Amino acid sequence: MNTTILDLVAEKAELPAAQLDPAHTLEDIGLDSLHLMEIALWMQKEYGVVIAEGELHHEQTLGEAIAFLDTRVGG
Amino acid sequence: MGRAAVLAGVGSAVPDNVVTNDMLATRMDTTDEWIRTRTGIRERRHLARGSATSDLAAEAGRRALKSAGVDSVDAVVLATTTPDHPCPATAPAVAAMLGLGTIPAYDVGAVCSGFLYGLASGAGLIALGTAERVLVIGAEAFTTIIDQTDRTTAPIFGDGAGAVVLSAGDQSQPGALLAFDLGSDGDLADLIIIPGGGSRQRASGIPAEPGDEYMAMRGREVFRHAVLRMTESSRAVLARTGWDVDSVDWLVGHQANVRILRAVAEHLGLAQDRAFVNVDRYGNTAAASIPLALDDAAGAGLITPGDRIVLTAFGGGASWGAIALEWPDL
Repeated sequence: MNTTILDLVAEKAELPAAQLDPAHTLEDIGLDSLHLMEIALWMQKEYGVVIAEGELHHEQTLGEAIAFLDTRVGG
Repeated sequence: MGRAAVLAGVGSAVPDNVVTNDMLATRMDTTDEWIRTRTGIRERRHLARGSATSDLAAEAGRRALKSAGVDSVDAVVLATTTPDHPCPATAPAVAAMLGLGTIPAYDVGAVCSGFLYGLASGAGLIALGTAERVLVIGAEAFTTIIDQTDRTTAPIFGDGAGAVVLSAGDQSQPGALLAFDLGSDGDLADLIIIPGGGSRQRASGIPAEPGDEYMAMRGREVFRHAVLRMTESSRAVLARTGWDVDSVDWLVGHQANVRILRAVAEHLGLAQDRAFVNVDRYGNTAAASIPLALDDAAGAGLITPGDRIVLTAFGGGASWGAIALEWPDL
């Protein structure tokens, strides 16, 4: 799992990264819709990757979201 | 040094009526906590019944003239999304209310970027030699185009006005507007739109749907484009002035949402506490927000003479811009 992306999610959720359960949904860990946009914008700034609206969503688990973002960075 | 438009005075005016988040929560499905965490807004001002944009504009203009120590200007430029009437422009009425005579006065419409477009227009009149002194006002009765039962827009917007006096000078003077960057993208017109009441709807022969007179906004997409464009535009004026980002004392961004302001600072590589914030007290006042923020920050002693300031905005159109200046001793 990409620890840099995980750290960003933890910062947005205001929780220690170690406390985040990959099985929890993004909504469960307390991210709102603007947090998802902030993560998308951060991906654009750091990796030049454009994440479209809806590609990150509240029903995704943290594990699924990180795997998706990893794929985009790798691609 | 070349002829330049120099900021010589600033003023603002807001209605007395404070509307808190808790007051809104009694009218619609929202909470103080939801509004604060999404937007950073705690309260906003609502115009009194019977007042209009020109009333706020004239008061802000009067205070800016006083700040500049002048009682006449050669032109009035009013940035507004909410003119007193669809026709004519509101600026001539404001000029008349201020007793400024039969000078040129016109409105500029670029929604939340309007004040920056107004400054560019005013500076243009000075560059042309058409004017030695211009009063540039941003004023909005924005709550008049907001459905006060819509939880996605009603908590965000407020009413207010701010103004500056620009005087002819040269680029070495404190207050000189040193660099401009402006842009627009009409493919994003539907991000922030009032569907009814314009020629597109009237010429269709189909009556406007109920609610079409109110502004609709695609918030998340606005957030994305605002952060990217405000960052890009700020970088453009930094490149033109040759300023290092670390030398910027204040980023005075359009006050739409505290999270946009923080994200722009982060993307620019600027410390978050360099982004001035007063959206908590006034909400988003569209074209009025930047001069209102400048007057607020200078009045509180936060912005001091010699400070390097980058103004930046994004709004309906879509339109955006940035302007760099060093704060003068007013």
